[in-house]
Order: sequence, then C-alpha cells, then structure tokens
Amino acid sequence: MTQKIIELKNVSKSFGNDKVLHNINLDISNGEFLTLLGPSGCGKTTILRLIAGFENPSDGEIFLNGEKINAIPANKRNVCTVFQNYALFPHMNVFDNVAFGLRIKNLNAEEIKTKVDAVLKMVKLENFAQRKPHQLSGGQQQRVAIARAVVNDPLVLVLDEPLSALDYKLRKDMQIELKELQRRLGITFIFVTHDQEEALSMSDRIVILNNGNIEQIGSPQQIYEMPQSLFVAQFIGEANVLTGHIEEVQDDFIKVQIAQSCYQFHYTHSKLQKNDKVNVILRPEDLQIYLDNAEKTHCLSGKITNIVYKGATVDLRVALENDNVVTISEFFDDSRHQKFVVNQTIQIGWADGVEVILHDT
Amino acid sequence: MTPSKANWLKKASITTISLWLAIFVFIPTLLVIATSFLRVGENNFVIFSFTLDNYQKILDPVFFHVFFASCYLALITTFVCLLIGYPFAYLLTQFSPNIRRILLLLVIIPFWTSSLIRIYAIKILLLQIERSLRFFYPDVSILYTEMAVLIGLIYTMLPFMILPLFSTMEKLDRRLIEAAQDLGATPRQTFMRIILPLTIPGIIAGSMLVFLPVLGLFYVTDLLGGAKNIVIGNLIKNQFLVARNWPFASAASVFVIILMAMLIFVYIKSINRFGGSRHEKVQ
Repeated sequence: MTQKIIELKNVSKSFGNDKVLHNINLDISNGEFLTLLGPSGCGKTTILRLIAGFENPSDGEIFLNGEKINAIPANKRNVCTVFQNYALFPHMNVFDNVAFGLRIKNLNAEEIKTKVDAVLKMVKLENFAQRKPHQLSGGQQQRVAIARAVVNDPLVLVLDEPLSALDYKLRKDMQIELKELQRRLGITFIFVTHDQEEALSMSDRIVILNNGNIEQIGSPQQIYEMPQSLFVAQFIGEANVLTGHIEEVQDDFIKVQIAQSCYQFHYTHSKLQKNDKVNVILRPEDLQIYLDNAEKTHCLSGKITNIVYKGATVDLRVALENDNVVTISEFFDDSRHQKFVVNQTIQIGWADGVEVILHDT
Repeated sequence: MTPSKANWLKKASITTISLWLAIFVFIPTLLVIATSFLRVGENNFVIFSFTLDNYQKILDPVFFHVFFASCYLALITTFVCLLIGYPFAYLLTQFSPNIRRILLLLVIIPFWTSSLIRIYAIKILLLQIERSLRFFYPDVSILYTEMAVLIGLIYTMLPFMILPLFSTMEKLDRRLIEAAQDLGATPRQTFMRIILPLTIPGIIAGSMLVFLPVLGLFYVTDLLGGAKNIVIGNLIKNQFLVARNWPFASAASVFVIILMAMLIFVYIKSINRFGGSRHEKVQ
C-alpha cells in the first residue's frame, strides 16, 4: 500500500528556546507498522504528540489522510493513543474504560456493548470486563489500553513506549501479539521505543531519530545492514568501528589503511577520495576468529582479552595491535572454541561485502 | 543518630503527644460526656444525680431551630467555598511548580495571624464599606447581617477548601485528561467524566473541613452578626458562660460530637470508595 496516511512537512517544534525537532519530513503509508526509534530526548515522543494533537508544531505542516490537521485538537482527530503507563481511568472498570470513546460519540447502549465485547474478546479480556484497572496485571492493563484505542476504529494508532513497563518475557509476547493485531486490523501503527530489538522485530519501517533530526528511514534490514551514519550503526545492534583512511580509489574497489595493514574493499560509489578518513563498520556476528591467517583476504590480528559464554553464542573481545577492541560473536562450538584462551594471539577474518564503509565527517 | 537514641526520641514524642491528647482532649471530653448526664446546681454548677433531661431538651424546638439554622449557614458557606475554591485550586495546578509554591504560600500566610484578629479586621473593613456605600444608598446595612457573617465564614474557611482540593488535583495524572481528549471528549466532557469524579475525594475532604468547624465558629457570628445569627457554637458557649447551664451545654456538645463523628465516618468510607484503592496496586 502506498497511500499516504500521514505526512509531516518541514515540521519543527520548540519548547521555549529549546528546539526539539528540526525540519522533520516524514511520510507514513496506510497500514504500515512504523517505529520511531532513538535515545531518550531525541524527539520521538514529540513527533507522536504532534500526530496525536497534544502539541502543535512551531513550524511546518501535518496532514492526516490528505487533510491539514495543524489546528485540529486531539479530540477531533481520528488518531488514538496508547500511553506509556496506559493512562487507564482508575474510577472506571475495564468495560467503561473501553466504552469511553463510543459513549462520547453517543452510540446506543446495544451497539456499544457489541463493540466493546468484541474488542475485549480480541485482547482476551472478556472475563475481566467488570474489574477495575488496579486489579489487573501490567500486561492486562496494557491490553485494556490497546482495546480502548482500537475500539474507536482510528485511522492511525500511536503507541508511546507501550511495552517499557512490562518485564522481559511479557514484553516479548506482547511484541508478537501487537504485530499480529496490527496485521489483523490493518490500521497504521506508529510505535515509539528506545529499544532497538523491539524496533527490529516488529516494524515494517524504522525511523531513527537523534537530537531532533531523522538519521535514517528504512526497513529493519536496511537499517541494520546499511546504516547511513555512525550513529545508526552504533545505535542499532553492536558495531565494531575501525577507523582508517583511503589509500587508493579504483572503479570497483578501494584500499583502506587500518592500523598498519591495508585492506581492499569492493566499493562502487564515487563519494570517497584518496586520503579521506573512513569508518569501517563490522558487526560482531560477521567476524570469525582463526588461529593463523590462512587464505583470508581480510585479516586483523589481535589478542583475546575476554571470552563470554552466552549459551547459543560466545562473545570474544579482541584487542587489536592499535589497541582498538573488537567484539566477535560466533555460534558456540565446544570443539572449536576450547582451542581459544585469553591472551592468545589470533587472526580475525570476515567475508567480502559484510563491511559498511562510512565517510568520517 | 544511634538506634537507641532514635528509639528514645520516638518513645518520648509518642508519650508527650499521648499525654497531651489525654489531658486536653480525652479527659475533658469524658468530663463533658459525664456532665451531660447531671443536673444543674444552684451553687456548684452541677448536682451529682443522674438524668436524661438534658438530652430531652435537645429535642426542644428552640434548640432544633438553632441547630438547623447553623447547619444551613454551614451548608451555604461550604457551597460558596466550593464554588470559589474548586476553580481556584484548578488554576493553581496550571502554574509551574515554583509559582505554584508561592501562590500556595499566599493561601497559607493568613493562618499566621489569629483568625479572631482577622475577623476584627474584616469587621472594620465591612464597617468602612458600609459607611462609604451609605453616601449613595442611605438604607444599606452590611455589618450585623447574615451577609456579613457569611463573608466572615467564607473568608475564614476558604483555605480549608482550597488545600485538599489542590492536593487531589495535583495528584491527578495529566495523561488521563489527554487520554480522554484522545478518545474524542470535549473539554466539558473531560471535566464531567474524568476530572470531577477523580477529584471527589478532595471535594468531600474540603467540604468536611469547612462544614464541621462552621458549626462551632461562635466568634464570627458574635462579631459580625451581632449575636443575632446564632450557630450551635454560640448556643453552647452561651450555655456554658452566660446561662451557666453546664449539663445542657455538655449534652449539646455531645450531640455535635456524635454528628461530626458520623460525618467523618461517612467521609472515610467514601474516600475508600472513590480513591483510596488506587494506591494498592495488585500486580
């Protein structure tokens, strides 16, 4: 689906002298699961509040379904919010909480009951309709908050770190449930989180924010495998960053000097020039360690400083000759890994093309 | 502080407070209750013989008239305080925490002066206003009317309404208001369905704190009403100090104490129902 449901055009937002969003341009397609991801204070919640109507942009325009909604208050927008701590009405039971929006719309009692019952069944809370919010567990409260929002058939559902208050196991389950719910309802979800794992596992597209700017927009795979900036590379997953400079630029490869060695990488973009400083990004799981430098073209040598057994995988920390520390993550293999010990000198290799080369600005 | 020293301090303060309450509250109350069952004496105030006459006198129409009149006065005072105090407390919560603290201090500062002195000040103020107004309306009278008493009572009691209302409103989660708006509620609907129900504990607390003391605030009615408007407090004071009928005054006091206890009981029950349970989260 390519129909735009929400458009942000040159949106800026300041609180006093504090500019929290700078010229944000963002198109959100109908029916997609979009995640706003960034460290705290990056402006992700502000974008959410602008879309929901709790804040007005200082500059720029916001469109919902092609209609400019800058001046439309929250209660007139067909956007519903799931709040961080759910914000359930403490004096109402689950049924009344969910029915709130429908009663405001003056639907008749029968219609309200049918709709509320249906949505409570969907979130598996049909037996809890008469409970007060404080009598529910965190996960149940979360479901009530979702039910209370989706029962109104919003065009867009915005979720402000809805899983952050739940414990690890429940959070995992809710991630899957939320994604399934979104698929079933076909509503656009705008999801705010600072948890990169959550973002990767749920989203159709991720928007990475930093200091009020969009760093990168893309699918989880694009974001992870082709980060466009050092910030994105380091924020999403773990990244080993090797700094070096370009020795030689050819049509289809470049040579990069890292520490004392020179490496050749495939590179067909014309952006880099000789002597440019670059960061070479390597994911820990793309690296392998060897006892000797066999026939690998890419090789770094270093000393093992730490070996951390993690069950399915093992993490090895290796200090390079230039004192940079690199993390390598391999699937654990008893017969293979018992050969490695701390303080041992080893070689690190990787396959062609797994590296990301970023111009150091 | 060492644990034993802290323990000693704790024991000392609890003992002091207990003694204080025993000597100045508990024993006098017992004495009042006991006196209410005795007869009036010619020379010694009371005669030690048991009777229920004093309670029978409470059922007397004269007493009931005073009782209802003071309840009426207390109700109007409570209502007006609520009418002024509710928006006032709400406005307070809209300021930034620093300004809020200053404004709250301004509400509390008058307490540093004895309310009796403040009532004298109000009396002088009303007298001046009355004099000025008489230039234009020769027949106007403010002082020694029910209006003057009401002004005095409302002025004295307003902070007792504002403070509990403010504290419940301050605790009100802003996100609940946003959630209501988000679900389509207009500001009016948000107020009626979310803000008002959630501030009921504050309304009840404020109303109790205003209603109950008004029944006994005899000096306000004495000074501003010229002893014409009698609250139950005036009656008890007069019976003790002027008529020297201690047993009847005691019976009237016991009656008011029981009434207040009942209201406080209702208050505690309603607090549990409307808000108290919110804090005990079941996880």
